[in-house]
Amino acid sequence: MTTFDQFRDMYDVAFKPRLLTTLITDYLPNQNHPFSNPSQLSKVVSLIKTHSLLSESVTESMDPKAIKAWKSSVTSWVDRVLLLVSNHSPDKRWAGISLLGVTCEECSSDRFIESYLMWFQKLLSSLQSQEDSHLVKVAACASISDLLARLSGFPKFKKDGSASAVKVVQPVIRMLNDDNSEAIWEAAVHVICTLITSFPFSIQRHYDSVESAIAVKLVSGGCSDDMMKKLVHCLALLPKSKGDEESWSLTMQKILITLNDQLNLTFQGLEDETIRKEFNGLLSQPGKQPPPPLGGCVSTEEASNNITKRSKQSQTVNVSILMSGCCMMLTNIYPVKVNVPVRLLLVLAERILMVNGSLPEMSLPFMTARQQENVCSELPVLHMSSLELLTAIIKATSSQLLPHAASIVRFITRYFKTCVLPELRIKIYSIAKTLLISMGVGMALCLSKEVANNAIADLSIIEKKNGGMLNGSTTDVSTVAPLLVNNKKRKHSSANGSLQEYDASGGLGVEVPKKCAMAPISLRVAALEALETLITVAGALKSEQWRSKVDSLLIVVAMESFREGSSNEEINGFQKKDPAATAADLQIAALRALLASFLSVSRPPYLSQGLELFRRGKQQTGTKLAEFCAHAMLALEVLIHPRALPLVDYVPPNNDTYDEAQFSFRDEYVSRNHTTPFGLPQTEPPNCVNNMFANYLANGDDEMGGLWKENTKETKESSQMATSLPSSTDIQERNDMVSETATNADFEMRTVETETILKSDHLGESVKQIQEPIHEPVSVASNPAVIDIHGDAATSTDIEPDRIVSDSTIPHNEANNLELASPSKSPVQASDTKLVQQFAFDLNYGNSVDGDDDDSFPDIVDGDPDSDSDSE
Amino acid sequence: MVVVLASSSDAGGGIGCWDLHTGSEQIRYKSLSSPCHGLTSVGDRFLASSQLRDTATSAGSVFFWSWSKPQVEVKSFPAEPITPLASNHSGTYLVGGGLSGDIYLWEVETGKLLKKWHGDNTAVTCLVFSEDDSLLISGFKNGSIRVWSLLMIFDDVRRQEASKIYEYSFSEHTLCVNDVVIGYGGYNAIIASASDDRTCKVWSLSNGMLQRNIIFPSKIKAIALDPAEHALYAGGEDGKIYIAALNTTKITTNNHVSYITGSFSNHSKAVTCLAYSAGENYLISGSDDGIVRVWNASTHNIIRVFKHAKGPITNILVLSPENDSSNHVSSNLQVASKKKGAQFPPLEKYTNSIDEDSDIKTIVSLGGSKRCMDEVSYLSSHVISSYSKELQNQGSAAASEMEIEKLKRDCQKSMQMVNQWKKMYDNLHQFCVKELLDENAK
Repeated sequence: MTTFDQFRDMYDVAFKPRLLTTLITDYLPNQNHPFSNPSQLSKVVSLIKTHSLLSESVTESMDPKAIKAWKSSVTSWVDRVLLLVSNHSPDKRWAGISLLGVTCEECSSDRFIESYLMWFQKLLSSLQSQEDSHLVKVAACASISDLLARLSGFPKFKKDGSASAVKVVQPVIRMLNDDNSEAIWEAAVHVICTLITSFPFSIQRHYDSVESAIAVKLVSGGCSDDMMKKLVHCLALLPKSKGDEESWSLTMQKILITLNDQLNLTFQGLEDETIRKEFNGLLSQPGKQPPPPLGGCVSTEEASNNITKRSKQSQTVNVSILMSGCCMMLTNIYPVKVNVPVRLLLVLAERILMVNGSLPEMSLPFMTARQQENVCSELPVLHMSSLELLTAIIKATSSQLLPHAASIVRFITRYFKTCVLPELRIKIYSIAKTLLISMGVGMALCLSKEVANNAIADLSIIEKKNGGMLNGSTTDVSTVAPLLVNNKKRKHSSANGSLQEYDASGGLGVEVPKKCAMAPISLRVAALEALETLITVAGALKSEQWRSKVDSLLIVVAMESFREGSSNEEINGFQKKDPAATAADLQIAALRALLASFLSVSRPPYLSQGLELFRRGKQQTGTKLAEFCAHAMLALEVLIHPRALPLVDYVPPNNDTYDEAQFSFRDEYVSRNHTTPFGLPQTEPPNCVNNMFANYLANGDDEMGGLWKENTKETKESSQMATSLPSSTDIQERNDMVSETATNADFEMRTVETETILKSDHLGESVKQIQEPIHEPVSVASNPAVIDIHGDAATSTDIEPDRIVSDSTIPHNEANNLELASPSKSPVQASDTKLVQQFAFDLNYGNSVDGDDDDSFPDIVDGDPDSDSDSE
Repeated sequence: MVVVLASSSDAGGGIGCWDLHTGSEQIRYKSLSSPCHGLTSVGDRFLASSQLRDTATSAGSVFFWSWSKPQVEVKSFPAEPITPLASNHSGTYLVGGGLSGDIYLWEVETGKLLKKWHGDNTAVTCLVFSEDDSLLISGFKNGSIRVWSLLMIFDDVRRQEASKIYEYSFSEHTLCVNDVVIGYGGYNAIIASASDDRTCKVWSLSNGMLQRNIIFPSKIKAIALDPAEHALYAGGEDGKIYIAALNTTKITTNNHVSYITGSFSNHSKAVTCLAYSAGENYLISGSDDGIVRVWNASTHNIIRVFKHAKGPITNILVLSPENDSSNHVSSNLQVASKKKGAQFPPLEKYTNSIDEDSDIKTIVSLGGSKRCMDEVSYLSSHVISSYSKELQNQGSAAASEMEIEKLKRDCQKSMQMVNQWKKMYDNLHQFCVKELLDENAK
């Protein structure tokens, strides 16, 4: 290649052969010279990968000369690599074998198909050679697994591949058994995994020997944690090579039997006999010979020898590794349906979680304090892994969990009460989340109270600390205050817990007085996420009491997170080694939960404050927070400008008497905007929305803000309505009252109707008419896109008295007849003081900002004369 | 492809299956007389229908069909005649309601009768699962509607503690409940019910209250919701389909108040069932005269008419089989062959009381139905990057081992060299000696 034979740019084909040739001459070791600089190889590999130098991907438009040059340079690359493979010097051979693996991965399909057999032979011979150094063996394993992985991508060669793959199995098993370097085991396990997934038939004949080779390593221990994980992963994959139900169950049972033995040893004298017996009863099926233990009989002797030698600590490691094996078996994809022993696994998880390190009285003399100490130090790890097992069970069974769900719920509820360590609490929050999402409303009915109480306890600690600071915004503190009292007891326990945690982590002694009350950020994030899920799944279900507490808590936490994020960030980052969760994560979690709480009710009580927070968050350019806040603003926009447009364009028949009514109410926007009279063609909504904005904007600068306030006012009023819905028993006695109120409301509504129609007729002419839309904002607010049950309820006021079977008429009446509403408040409402506070806030807010407009919103003032007088 | 399935109470009618777009009949499954709400697609895996032989005998049965074959695959004979039948969305459980008011819950995979509980004192008329499959809504002949949490049903401990095992019981209907539907929205969903007492009622799931009571001129046999829940379509005994508004504020005209915003009819006889096809906005109705009509929901024009049977249509299902290929016939076959393996045991008659721990094991397909290819992971480049540094610094044991080997080889080479030199030296030495000796000899 000549010096000035320049190419066009970095995408030119001519560039690739040039670069490849340079790499061959300059960086690859050759036959004669010593291999001086091995670290350059990784540079070579990265260059090959980024420029795909070996791909030979050509299109017809390319210069044939360049193509030819590329081809020849790749050939010379392969030749050089093969030369290196058969070199005598181990380092060069290592380089050659590794580069051959990379070539298998990177080269073109044609070249691969052409020469894979030859490459395979070369690699196999180096795999089989006994006296090679470790590094060469590792490289050979890696390369051969790459070759097989690539080969599995060609269905045509499946059969040939299987024939070749069989030859690999024996040497690899020998490596596992004979060698004693972890690096080699790791590579060998990798090869086996590749074989299982790509060429399952090749493994089948050696199934038992593979299993025992892995199991011996697993049971006898002596490997690093990482290695153990890889081994157990391989063991969990193994049944896939057979792909039948039988071998899955067998492997699962073997793992469980081994687990049982280990647990019996570990928990001797610490656990309840009944649950152990239950587990054993479920484990050994009557009338069936138990399967041979993992790794065969010989190995168990060896293993038990090993166990006596080793400390208790590694035993528990073993237990948790085996548990993670169970989890993998449950969560991996399996080709056929399997029979999962759900009950057995649940009992296993429960059995471990039940042990808390306390000694039952009868076994006192058999246990030294030292032994107890050993077990207790390892218990958190065991609890963690059994919680993970629980998660895996839930994931695997999904909808079929139903028969077991109740026992899980009971168990979680019990465990929640005693669990103190933040990591475990986080895990249990995540389990609760999974359960809530998968089983929806039914699960929420059982779990809501527990999740809400615990999350409140974990979160409310902040408020206590910062109570003074928050006094600026009076409403929030006062609403949260009762909550603090309620949860005092729980809070203490978890406060202690976090204190212990900090002591355990050490080094924070100085901070304790200030920080002791705070749950770690990651725990608070988990609690917030659990709340978010709870609200998502069951936000307004049965309008339970926790809801209002949670709403007020969330707004406080969100506001607090803004304060905290700005000041403490650097110090925290310096002192706390908690990379998992930072203040920013907390902030996002808080805002996410806040958004969920806004979206899940029709009248969110703290919308205005929330919008402000989202707006502020959006300004933090470049952060995740800003992204989320933008999304939140979009989601909330629908609350502010509700648009519940029908999916279908209704074209009613002409001579229908109902049409007029339909026209004026359902297609409220449409009629107002004077676009097509009956519903919109689906292409047009953007236009409609624009008009909608035009209307808002035409009302002057303050109007948007006014609308907000209007909205929040509405919101609060109706949240009061919602909570004070009377029970269905006292409908009867109200029926007589209803008739008079109904006429009242009827009258009012009729005026609205005429007005709307009027407007729709004359809208085009003057904008001024829209400028004082007395009822429009109200009706807007009562018709949000969220499926609006209360909205419907409120509007069903004026059906004829004899038809009022519905108690839903009450809420609206309440606005007019307060003597009706007041007795019904008491059963549901948490505290009256809170209500009063809310209203006080309302009115102040309203008066200060748009006091002049007061008379333009007559029904609001009419709605709460009671609180009016209270506040003034 | 979207198909419409319809069954009738006519004994020889079978279950018809039409392509909604082309209108061609696909297959007709052989069946006996199917009662109302007795037809269900079990998680899109197979078709199940309860069957009544005739009213005289007290025996009833439940038949399964695989999608491809008109013959009945599995017949099971529950303890009493089952009328409504429903399956959860993933098709793992099947629920049936008996004439006695008992509700039965079977596991599809094993056919086990997992639970049986007493719903009410009269026959169950309809059963519906909620969106998240955690609640079951049942309608009864005496007009009551009950909402059950399945978690509660399975929780023996709480069931004994609690005074009632249902979540809600609505008793406002005075006559037989003919149809129940549930809308979208999780906990905020609405339940709509239709009854012989000429009303439809709308209930809130979140607080269990009656939200709306809509009075019609005739008995309502079937209802359907449009997906946006703006309208409720109610099929009346007078052959009309009424449209009732759900999302409006209220309707008042000349002192007459109603939610009914319109009606349309081309039925000579009563409308017996309704279904909504969301993709196309079609409303599909079945009537007493055995004809299935497809309406355009916005214009109320009839788009297709399927003549099915002599007797009244009892069920309409709208399904869209998963693989949507252009060739309808082949795709249908493909679906069929894929699902051919789905053989399920018949449903058990009684709960197996002897084997108390019947729920020890659960048959589960792991990883769901998706068969994603395992990600192929390549190792050698990783090996190069992780070990080349070691080699460079000769840090690790493995690297030094390799180094030793290399040195050994070098040593060997040097030894060879030395030998060679030695030999050469010897030769030279010999030569010189010889020369010297020769010279001396001279």
